[in-house]
Amino acid sequence: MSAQNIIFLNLFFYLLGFLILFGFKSYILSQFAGWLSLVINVLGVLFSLSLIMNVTSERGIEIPWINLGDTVVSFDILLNDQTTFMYFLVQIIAFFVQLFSTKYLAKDPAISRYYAYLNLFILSMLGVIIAGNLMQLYFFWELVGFCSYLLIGFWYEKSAPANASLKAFLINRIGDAGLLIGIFLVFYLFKTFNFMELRDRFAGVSTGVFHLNTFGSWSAGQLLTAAGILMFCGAVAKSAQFPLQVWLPDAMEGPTPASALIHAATMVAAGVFLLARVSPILSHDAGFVIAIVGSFTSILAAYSAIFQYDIKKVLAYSTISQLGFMIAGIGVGAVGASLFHLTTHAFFKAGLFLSAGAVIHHLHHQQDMRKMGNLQDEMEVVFYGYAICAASLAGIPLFSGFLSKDALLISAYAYAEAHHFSYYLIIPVLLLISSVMTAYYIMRQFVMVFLNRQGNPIEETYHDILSGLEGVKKSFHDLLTADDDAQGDEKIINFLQKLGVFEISVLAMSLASLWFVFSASPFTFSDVWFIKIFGQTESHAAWIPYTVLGVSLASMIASFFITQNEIRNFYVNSDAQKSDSWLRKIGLNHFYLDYFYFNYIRPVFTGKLNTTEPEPAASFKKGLPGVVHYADSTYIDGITKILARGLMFISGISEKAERLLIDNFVNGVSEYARKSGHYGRKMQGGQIQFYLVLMIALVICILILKTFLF
Amino acid sequence: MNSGLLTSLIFLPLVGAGIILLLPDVYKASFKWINLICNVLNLINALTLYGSFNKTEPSYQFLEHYEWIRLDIGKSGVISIDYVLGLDGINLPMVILSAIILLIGGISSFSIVRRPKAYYSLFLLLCSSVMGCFVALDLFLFFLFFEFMLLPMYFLIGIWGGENREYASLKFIIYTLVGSVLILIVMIAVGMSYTDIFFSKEYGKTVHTFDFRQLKDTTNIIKNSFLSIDSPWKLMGIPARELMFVLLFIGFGIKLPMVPFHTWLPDAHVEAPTAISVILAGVLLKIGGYGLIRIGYGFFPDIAPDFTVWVAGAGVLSVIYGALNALAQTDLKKLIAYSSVSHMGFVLLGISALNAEGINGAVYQMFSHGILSAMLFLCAGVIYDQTHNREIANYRGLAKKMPFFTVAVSVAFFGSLGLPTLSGFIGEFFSLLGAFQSDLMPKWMPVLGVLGIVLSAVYLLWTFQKMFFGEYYISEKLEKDKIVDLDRREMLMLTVLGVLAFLFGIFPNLIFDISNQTVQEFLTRP
Repeated sequence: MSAQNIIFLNLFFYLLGFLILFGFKSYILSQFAGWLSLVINVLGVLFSLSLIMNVTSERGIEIPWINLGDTVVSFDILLNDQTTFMYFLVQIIAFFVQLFSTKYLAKDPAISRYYAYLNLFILSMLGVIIAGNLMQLYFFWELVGFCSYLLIGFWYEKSAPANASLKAFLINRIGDAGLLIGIFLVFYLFKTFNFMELRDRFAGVSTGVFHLNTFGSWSAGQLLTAAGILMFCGAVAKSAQFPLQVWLPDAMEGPTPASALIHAATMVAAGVFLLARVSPILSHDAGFVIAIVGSFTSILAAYSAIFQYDIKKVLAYSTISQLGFMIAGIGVGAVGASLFHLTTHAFFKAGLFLSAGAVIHHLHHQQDMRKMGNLQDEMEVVFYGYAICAASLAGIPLFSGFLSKDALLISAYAYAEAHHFSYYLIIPVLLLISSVMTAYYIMRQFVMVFLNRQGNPIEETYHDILSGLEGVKKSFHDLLTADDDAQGDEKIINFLQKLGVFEISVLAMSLASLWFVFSASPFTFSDVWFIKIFGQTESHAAWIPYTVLGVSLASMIASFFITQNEIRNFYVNSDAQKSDSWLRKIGLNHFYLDYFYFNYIRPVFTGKLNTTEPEPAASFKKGLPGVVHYADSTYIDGITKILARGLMFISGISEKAERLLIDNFVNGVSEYARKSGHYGRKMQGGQIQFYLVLMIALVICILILKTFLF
Repeated sequence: MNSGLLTSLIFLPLVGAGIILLLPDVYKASFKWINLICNVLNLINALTLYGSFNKTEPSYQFLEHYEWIRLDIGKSGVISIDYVLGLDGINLPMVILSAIILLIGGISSFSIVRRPKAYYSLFLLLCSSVMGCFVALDLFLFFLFFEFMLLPMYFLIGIWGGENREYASLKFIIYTLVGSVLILIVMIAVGMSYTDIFFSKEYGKTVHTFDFRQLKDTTNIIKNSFLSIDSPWKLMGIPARELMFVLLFIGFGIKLPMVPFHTWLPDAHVEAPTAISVILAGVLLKIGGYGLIRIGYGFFPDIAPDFTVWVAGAGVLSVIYGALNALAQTDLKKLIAYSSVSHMGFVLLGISALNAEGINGAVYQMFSHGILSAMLFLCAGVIYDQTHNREIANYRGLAKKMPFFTVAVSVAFFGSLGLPTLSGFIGEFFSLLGAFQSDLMPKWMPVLGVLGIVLSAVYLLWTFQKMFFGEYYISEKLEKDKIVDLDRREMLMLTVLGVLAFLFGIFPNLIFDISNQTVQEFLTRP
């Protein structure tokens, strides 16, 4: 089967899945919905494997779509390693997420709709991945945004998810507007949307084969930078970068497995993917802006993650922060490292989210981490899975995150070095601090959620906590040395008995977060096959990974103790919020960015909303639209009304004029005629004598006239 | 090819109207079916035309040409007014759109119970004049149909409309008449200044023609006439040809509608019955865009590029202004009406670009808006028919009670806000792309136009959220406290339109293949 047929068949299955699951959502049994969806997904994974076999070198497939004479937009499929790998990645993660969902949402009456949305999402996400030109990418890009809207608002009857979905979609729309303008600009410059042609033409610019089409007093370089930054706007929204990152924490209102798939592993990474696709035409300045925004976001979000209490919010901020890493990586030109981090992050973050989902499910929808704890025995498998993924996120050797994060850090450092440091140094420094924070907050979450607390937490002692840590160490030891150990077999059997749908999904994700999936050597990323495929980064600054590791470990240890303290304080002082320091408040509220938007930007478009009012009908007549509408009804429509009134006035005058002048004249004439007739009538009275007198008088008159005049 | 198909498009509804008028009131139950049959036949007719249309031929096809009026005016020559009908890539999409929307309007009219005889005969009269307007290739004939459209529309709004119907219908007719007067002036000027060279030789006299095929060729202008390229005629310092273009721009702009001549639209829409709103938004507005392309840009190719900034500016203003106004509405139908203003702004933007992307995009946008706005008004009608109230704030959480309706509304809303796979995306994308590629206007104009896409998402999704999400609730003030989902008739109409929205969103070449050749020729002619 040709690559094209594989893809179309695969996409067709997802479409079919969506149509069946959505069309017959009221009739499908919940079990069947899950199975159908899983079967389609398994097929998809197989298809993607055969695609990997099939595609050996980069090529583009063009299927005629839109033809406007000079402007031809085909349905392009760009097949290269990036494509086939991402194609596989999305579906494999989707598979485990769907598997997880079969239990997580088993009791939801609308489960068929949920799977339908997931199928549509996978379809659109694969569309983004195979897209061979910018228009097509935008096409599917919008669709994944739409799917995200549907899934965040899956429980639409509750107001929080409904609000969150609206917010996500609208903020993404703002970014998409930038992306759209960027696409137009690229098309203006290069006269094509196709990625391969773009790359060739860009290469042709330096050799003089191709000339960029510029306008105004702008130089080609400036316009390229503008185009790069505009397209980056799309990524800023979709990948939740500053200043549009506010939608992602709210997006956690959606079902947790969907959050794992869409708002952690795949869709949010689409921005990174977009930038990777257009990276050949990104100018140096655009790259710098991108790197700065990425690293800045990364540190902002990591800081906020430290202070969150909601288990999913921590992960959401963590996702923003890690996306910042990838974005910064693209900015510094390390596309391969970025995509590598995208991949490792996809697995370990999906693992973390699924673990969180398992925990939430276990605790009957409790999401406050301060009220968790003591789960390490209750949910043993999830605990291990979570620990591996968390270690990967924290960047501990032996786990994939170590390799990818250090690839990024070293690239950022190399970038700064190549530009003789100065202000370029800010990028690696920000990323470095952010990695240290990452280690801190994930340790905090680990302690809060899983580690044992004593029955009476107020009297909890360090000793117990340390013994908890011992337990962790021992468990790891057991797990890792299970093969050599004679007793290990029993343990494995015990372990296997605990495996359910949740555990399998979490374990799969965590296994994929181990180093050997990506590299023979756990300590240096230069062996990573991934990097080899997607481009080499120099790794001479070997001191960086170990410095980072050292500081991270220190921050983890600090986190371990500080978090214990935090938990204790929570129990001692239940209204700890009041005594919060401003540092904590800023972190918890994510720098009041959301607050600012909600209170200062939103009212411009909606007027100040009075939330206590049940029907906010009158209140949204304010703001800019209210002013415009007032102007419209008062002035523009007013002019019409004034014109109408003026016309009425003039016609009133003309009516009067007609009555007074014309009518009176006509009436006068007729009156005259009447009166003269009246007199004339008298002449014909029928009296012979009168006729005779008249006749004689006339004859006399004629005689007189004749005598004197003629 | 002269098959009479175009004539039948115009006269079939007239025959239907005649039958309805002749039938006694006893048979009034059959009127809606007669109306429906006429519209179905017209749709079949339009699809036949689509099927046999030669996509590689840029000029007019299916021509029907009959002499109509030959008026010898002595020394000045002969006035020749012909019955010319034909189709090319620009009006064929409009004819298909009209056939679809008029049929949908016919189905939607089933709920009309008052005075069916008058209603359906007027409705068919409207069908006939709409079709005539799109296929006429003679300025006089075009104008005749253009004017004739107002009569049934006036009564349809004025008799079967809502509470404030007299005001709305009067406003509608006065506004549109003002536009017509402007177009009439142009028609007279054009009639004075253009000649048919071939026939002039045959007659031995100057033949003043109104035939589009002659008028679009500037070599047919009589030397030293009022509208000759170097005409000395000026009014207030504006050369005659420019003035004529401005008159057409405003004349068709009123119909489009373009800010600031749009205020008739919300009133007319709010008061009109659902079926008439559907036709008004779906078809009638398109005549403005079609006329501007065909007549404004068609007859004055030398003037049009100079006015790009004005046309595009009006387009951008409509987009933003319409969207902001829509955001301020509390009445669902008014919101949709203003969204029409906003979306038709893209048409102006696309036309003004004067390149293949822009004009094709504008034609596409008109087509797509026809389908989507029809859907939107039908959706508003579904709610209004049940509760006789259109206040957005009176409804909440409808998704639970009306699942099918929710799907239909979401297709209409997301289509309107330009979600890919729905037709709105293609139209907006290409209109904006064309505008951005055009060097005739500054780049900030299309950039602001893109802002309109963001705003459309704001007002549509916000409304969607308020009405459909959350706990189910409808205001106690309403006549009815229970709401039911779509009935079969509504389901049929919305499904058809929804499928079309997807069809044209995924296969844009269905329209582009038709329009492109004509647009190319339109752009490259001298």
